[in-house]
Amino acid sequence: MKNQAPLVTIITSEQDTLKEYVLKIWKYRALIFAFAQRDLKVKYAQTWLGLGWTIIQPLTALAVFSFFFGYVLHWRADDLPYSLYVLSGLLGWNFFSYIVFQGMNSVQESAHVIKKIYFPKIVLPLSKVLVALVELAITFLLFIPLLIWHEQSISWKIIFIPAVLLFNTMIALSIVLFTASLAYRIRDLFHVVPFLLYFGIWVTPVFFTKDVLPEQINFLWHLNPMSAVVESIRWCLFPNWSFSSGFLPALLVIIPLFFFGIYFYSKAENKFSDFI
Amino acid sequence: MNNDVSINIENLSKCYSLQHSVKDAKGNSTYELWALKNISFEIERGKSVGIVGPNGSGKSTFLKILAGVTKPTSGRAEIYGRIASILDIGAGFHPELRGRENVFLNGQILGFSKNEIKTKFDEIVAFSGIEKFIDEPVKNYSNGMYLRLAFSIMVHLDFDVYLLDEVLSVGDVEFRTKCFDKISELVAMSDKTFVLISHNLNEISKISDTAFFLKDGIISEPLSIDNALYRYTNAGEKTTVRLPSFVKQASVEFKDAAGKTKTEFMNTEPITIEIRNSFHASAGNVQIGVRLTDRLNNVVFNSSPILQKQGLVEIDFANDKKITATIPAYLLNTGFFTVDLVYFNDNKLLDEIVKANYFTIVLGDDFTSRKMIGESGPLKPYLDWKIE
Repeated sequence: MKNQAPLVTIITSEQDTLKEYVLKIWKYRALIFAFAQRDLKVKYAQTWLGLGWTIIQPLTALAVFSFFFGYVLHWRADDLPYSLYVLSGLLGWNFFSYIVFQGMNSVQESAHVIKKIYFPKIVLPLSKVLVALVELAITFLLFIPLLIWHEQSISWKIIFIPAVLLFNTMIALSIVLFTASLAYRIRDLFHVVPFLLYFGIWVTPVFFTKDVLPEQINFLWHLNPMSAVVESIRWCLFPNWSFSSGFLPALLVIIPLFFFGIYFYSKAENKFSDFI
Repeated sequence: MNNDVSINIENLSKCYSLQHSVKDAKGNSTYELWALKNISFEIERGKSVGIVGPNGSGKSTFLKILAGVTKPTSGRAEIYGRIASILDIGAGFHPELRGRENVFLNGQILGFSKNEIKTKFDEIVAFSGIEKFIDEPVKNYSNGMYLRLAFSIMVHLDFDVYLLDEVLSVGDVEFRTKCFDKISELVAMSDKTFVLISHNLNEISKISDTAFFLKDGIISEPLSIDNALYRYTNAGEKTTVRLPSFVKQASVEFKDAAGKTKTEFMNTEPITIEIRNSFHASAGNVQIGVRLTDRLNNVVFNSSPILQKQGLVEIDFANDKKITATIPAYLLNTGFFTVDLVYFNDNKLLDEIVKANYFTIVLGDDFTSRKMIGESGPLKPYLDWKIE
């Protein structure tokens, strides 16, 4: 270690450029894992079921929705069994809402560390993405018995799932990077965002299909990038599901927004320690 | 850039914006608070410096900037090597995690890889002395255990620059000694640099050879420990407490055997304290006493004629009487001492003039400047040594 080139830290009032900031994130990548590990350990510390809770939550949601919408209201999803339709929708939506909610709170949650030790603060929401991935993987386990039960096969297109999840993450982080950058001063966001998440699920095809929605609010569906994500997940999983054309335009909007979000956050994070 | 420089600071300033306006020195209202003003200095590799100053002088802000936690408003600092910013013991500990898990988490937050921590893990745990409880969640730890573990982590990981904010006095007496020994070991290494903030003057004097005095965001030139501590102890003005209307005027002067007034004495000569005072009103039997305080703000002694069976020496309010007391030669150690005046009757404190005056003692001819290992204390008596 002594033979390394001398490490120098330069402190000025200047902000990092986007490139410098991205390099910093890379340098601190181990911390992303460390924080994710901490969250997972803490979440299931002193519980009997541990990770089992991750499966119980979507399972109950699945049971309730399948019963009311599928069985009582007889909603159908083309030729797909309704429970599979709901579960595939929940996969994408829960992943998204976990990152948005936890990501925004992550800065406040780690206030004590932020005030004492330096690290790029984007590490905090990024670690939440990892936690969300673990939970997603566990929820996915529910899928297998359900597929067998309904005698459905899975599509080879599942190999595209990582790309869809990456897109899903970018949408979620785009929201987090702006809300977290503002929430430390405008605390109202801590109330507004859960509210939006609560309503968001109703303009995203998680429970119902497009034709259930009235014509007048059809545009919300197209404006919502999460519709594209949820539909694309179904396209990846089910052999006969048609490709969602909304995917590409959404991509064009989200990618620049995401990078602008990183830049915006890197500006804001310097003030975190002075204000939280 | 010079290879022997560890920290180089140029014109560092920090301005906080306030939510409510305050009056500045000129009486204009402002929303700005300049916590640090144009700080510049350089610290060589392997040197340790202390920073002293009253509360709110900007010490912690300064360390926060060096640690990268907050940005300066202007100026620049360069720090060479790996930085341990220990602004709080155990920042980053999570109460729900086990001791073992927290060692890794804390180490990683401080910028170490899992492998680096793994190689030091046994040492860390052994030093903390809580092997038995390392797999308990830290929320079940006592405060002392928590601090022990946190402290062990920071002293066992290999940093080049340590930024310490009031974190050295942790745990019980035994552990504190252990910490100090460990810190002293690190300080003694030629390539470790320490920047230490502390209110415990004793602590600073043990660790560093140079100190800065910071007040209202303005830093002094590098000072010897004695001078920095002197400034710190005297940062408050001469203060009269309790019944400020009692003593009208009081002055303290120091005279040598020839009757010459001075403030620097050798430890081999007697010092005569000469007090003159006048009062506003009569308060019955008034006793006067002096309190001598050393550079670390420890009381060396209290003295008053009434304590010496000379009977009640009543003060005549009509006249400004001269009161003298002589500190014998060969008693005090080198350093500076301050004198407080205390006025009291029977059991009641009437008035107190803190830091009425000070004097410095230098080494006289009968002593060598050689140092013994360990602390020296406020006294340096000439003992009658015999070897038989």
